Amino acid sequence: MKFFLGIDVGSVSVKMAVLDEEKNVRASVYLDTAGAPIRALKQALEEIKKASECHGFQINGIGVTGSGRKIASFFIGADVVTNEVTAQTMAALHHNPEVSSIIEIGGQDSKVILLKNGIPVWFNLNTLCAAGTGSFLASQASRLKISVEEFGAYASRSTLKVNIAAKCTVFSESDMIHKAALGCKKEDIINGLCEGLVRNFINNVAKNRPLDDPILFVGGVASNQGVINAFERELGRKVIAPKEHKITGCIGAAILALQKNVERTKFKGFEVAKHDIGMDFFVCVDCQNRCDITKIFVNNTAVGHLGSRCEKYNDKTPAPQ
Amino acid sequence: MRAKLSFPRYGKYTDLLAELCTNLGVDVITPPPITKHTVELGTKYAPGDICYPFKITLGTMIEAVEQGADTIIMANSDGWCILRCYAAVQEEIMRSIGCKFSMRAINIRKPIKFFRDIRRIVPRLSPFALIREMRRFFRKVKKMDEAEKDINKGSDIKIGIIGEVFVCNENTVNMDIVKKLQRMGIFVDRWLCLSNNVEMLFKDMFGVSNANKYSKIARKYFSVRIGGHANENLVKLIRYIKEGYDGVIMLKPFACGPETVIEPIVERISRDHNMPVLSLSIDESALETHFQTRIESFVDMLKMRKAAG
Repeated sequence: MKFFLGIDVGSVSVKMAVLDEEKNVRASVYLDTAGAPIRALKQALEEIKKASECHGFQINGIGVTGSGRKIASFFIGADVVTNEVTAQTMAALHHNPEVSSIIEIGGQDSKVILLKNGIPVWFNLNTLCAAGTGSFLASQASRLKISVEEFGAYASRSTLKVNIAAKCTVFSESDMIHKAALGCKKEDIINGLCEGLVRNFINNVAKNRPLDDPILFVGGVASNQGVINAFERELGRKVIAPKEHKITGCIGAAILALQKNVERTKFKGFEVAKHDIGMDFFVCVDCQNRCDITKIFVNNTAVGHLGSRCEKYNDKTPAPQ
Repeated sequence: MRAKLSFPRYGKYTDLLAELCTNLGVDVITPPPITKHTVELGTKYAPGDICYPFKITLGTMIEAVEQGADTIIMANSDGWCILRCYAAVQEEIMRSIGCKFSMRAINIRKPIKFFRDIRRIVPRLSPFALIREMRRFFRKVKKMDEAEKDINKGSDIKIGIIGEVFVCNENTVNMDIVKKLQRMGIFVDRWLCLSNNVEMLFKDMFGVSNANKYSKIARKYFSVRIGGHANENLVKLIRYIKEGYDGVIMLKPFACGPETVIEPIVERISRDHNMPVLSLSIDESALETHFQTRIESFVDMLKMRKAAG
């Protein structure tokens, strides 16, 4: 039996999953980065290591995705380095081959992917502003002294429709404070926030394109029942949040690794979790671009660079120093 | 003392433009490359909400003056979009921060005004010499643009690039999007390259432009002149669809008037014709990693679509 590891290094969390040849999830981890992605990555690796020692997994391929995919691939080694859209598409197609719309709202970004007959035909990611994504909901929840999981229960108790402007996080927050000062109840404000987020998503991310059934809702925010309900009310359709919604990105990456099925994996083994990672920053002055280059060290040995616009630092692994 | 002339950078054509000026008999200071410092200068002194090309060109002009230029040439579009007031506003801003120079706006739409403006800089220039040098310049630009189009000619994935002319041409600003795509093995057509642009300007100057002769299908979506290259971009988008391109990338500077106006129209055309369009908005806060993710996703999607037939 072959096993494949998928890693999704997101903005606020690190996700890992081990898939077998039948694409069943055999082990998974979800960890908050808490501002230190590398530490979270090591911790998650340790946990996967424990699980694989327990069940005797042998990793035959590895796929990484998420905003931290490049760093993770230098650190752990990767057979497939892919973007979030492709990874989510693969995972959603695995979950339901008929899927025609994917809504993904994560910590810092949100995206919509439309499919026709199992082929992605259109996608869109949020633009410069991160309004209406997970981190914003989390910060509002902590300001209101409730947990994100309680959102749904609060929102369903709402009796009054309150409009919250959710286009921009800053304005949204001041609107919430204003509505609270007017005497609106917490329940109504939370419900208004969920509805505003959904409205903003449909207008600015989905660009008012029709979302057809079946609609899959993944990403951290899919745990939030209030948002799911608001989506269903707004779209008038059923929105399905699969139980593995938090780890779909890494499932997709593992599926891609499985499809590639390399002879010898580039996975450096679980012992990398004990390695020491360092970074150095410099500005390359060889051309007019003046790129900020990040040099990555593992155990004080330079393993690669990030951030150059040309191919200069991307293909070449520098000599040890 | 002879004037030391400079102009805002214009992508890879900067050196050819400098050569053209030299051939016309003026002393040129080639504007320094666009760096983070240039962008910082531009954003520091330009009005906050103005479009991105304004900030970049302002930054390069300030740097050119710092390097000793005393005369700056700036294009004046005489209509179109706020490019028509770039020169005037930028001159005002640069004087207020103590730059000593004179600004010469060149009208790029009316042939007689164009010649008049050039004569103000090179007083004894004959029209024949100007035409000769312009043709020589044009031939070199054309060669450069054709070289770009030769890469990946046989590729089965073809992407067209539409959008605002400055960000399409200035590689420092558009994160070298053409090369990024070419490295993925894709054929890229960037129709707003300088040679097409010059051709279009000339046609426009002498009234043989086809900008107003919209094809039937184009008329369904828009009937008014919008400004900038907005109409031309829409017509080109429809042509890309007809020519069987796999996808179109639209580059627009944040807060660009004409391109923002046509965005919903582009979205509608894209939906009606099932043509994927990736719209990228560029300004000083745009991140290269965001770009990379979007471009990679777009290319992945096009490949999957292609494979499915």
